[in-house]
Amino acid sequence: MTETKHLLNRLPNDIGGLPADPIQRTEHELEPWEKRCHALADVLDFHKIINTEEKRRGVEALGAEMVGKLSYYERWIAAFANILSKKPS
Amino acid sequence: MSEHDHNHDNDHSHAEIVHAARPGYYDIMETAVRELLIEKHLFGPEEIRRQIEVLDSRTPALGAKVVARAWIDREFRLRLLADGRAGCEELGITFYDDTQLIVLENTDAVHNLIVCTLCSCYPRPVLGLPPDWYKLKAYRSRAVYEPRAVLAEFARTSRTTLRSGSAIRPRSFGIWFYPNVRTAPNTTARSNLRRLSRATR
Repeated sequence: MTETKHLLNRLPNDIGGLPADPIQRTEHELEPWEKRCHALADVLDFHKIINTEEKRRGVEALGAEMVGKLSYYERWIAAFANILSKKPS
Repeated sequence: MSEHDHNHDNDHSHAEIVHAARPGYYDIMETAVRELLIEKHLFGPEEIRRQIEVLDSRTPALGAKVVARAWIDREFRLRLLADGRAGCEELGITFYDDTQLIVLENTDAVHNLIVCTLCSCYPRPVLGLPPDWYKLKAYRSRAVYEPRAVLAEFARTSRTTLRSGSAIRPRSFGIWFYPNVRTAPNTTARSNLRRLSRATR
């Protein structure tokens, strides 16, 4: 049973202290939709619709597989869609 | 999607352009979420446009200006260390969120290393959006337990060097640092500023 303990102790975002590869310094220019997604996150925060902690937990709630496979802003927009669909309209 | 959505496989002259113009799955998802919220009058489309302009207006040059002022103005430096946000606001840098900003000073004995292990907290109003490496697993995982090895990897491409014996203090999110105020005898604030802008590029 203990081989699953780490799944409970560490949610997918919580990676501080884990082994990892060398740092890759390759940068990419944000795509227009990624920039819009960032602005959307800020506006959602300004209007107190989704705050930073909800967003972080929303990404966490996607689960390890999606956190591992989706890109940064793909995780954000998927989390927003999930969070908003559960808010009272 | 439209009447233009027929098969372009044999049309080599502009097939690639058609391909690039087709929005991806997450691109469409972003549009759908945003337009639904606008339809529900939760905010207006101009707010997104305005925030994109705000994001585009923030670059490491703003942070460099704050650091350079701290190098040459002792009173400002003390105010900045006491209240990072108020110090930046003095120089006309506005904050578009509620974040508290703490400024840490590197010394001969301590080099502060900033990391958000849980995601990507970063002083965006002062430095702009973070570089990709800051948000990726390698940096977030390793910065807290082998900061010297991490900095050594950066030293190959930037001029970040540490004197031997200095402590490295990894700091969690929401915090920003400014580089050592100590300068070599013949360096000026201007050359320090050039160094900083190279290091933050």
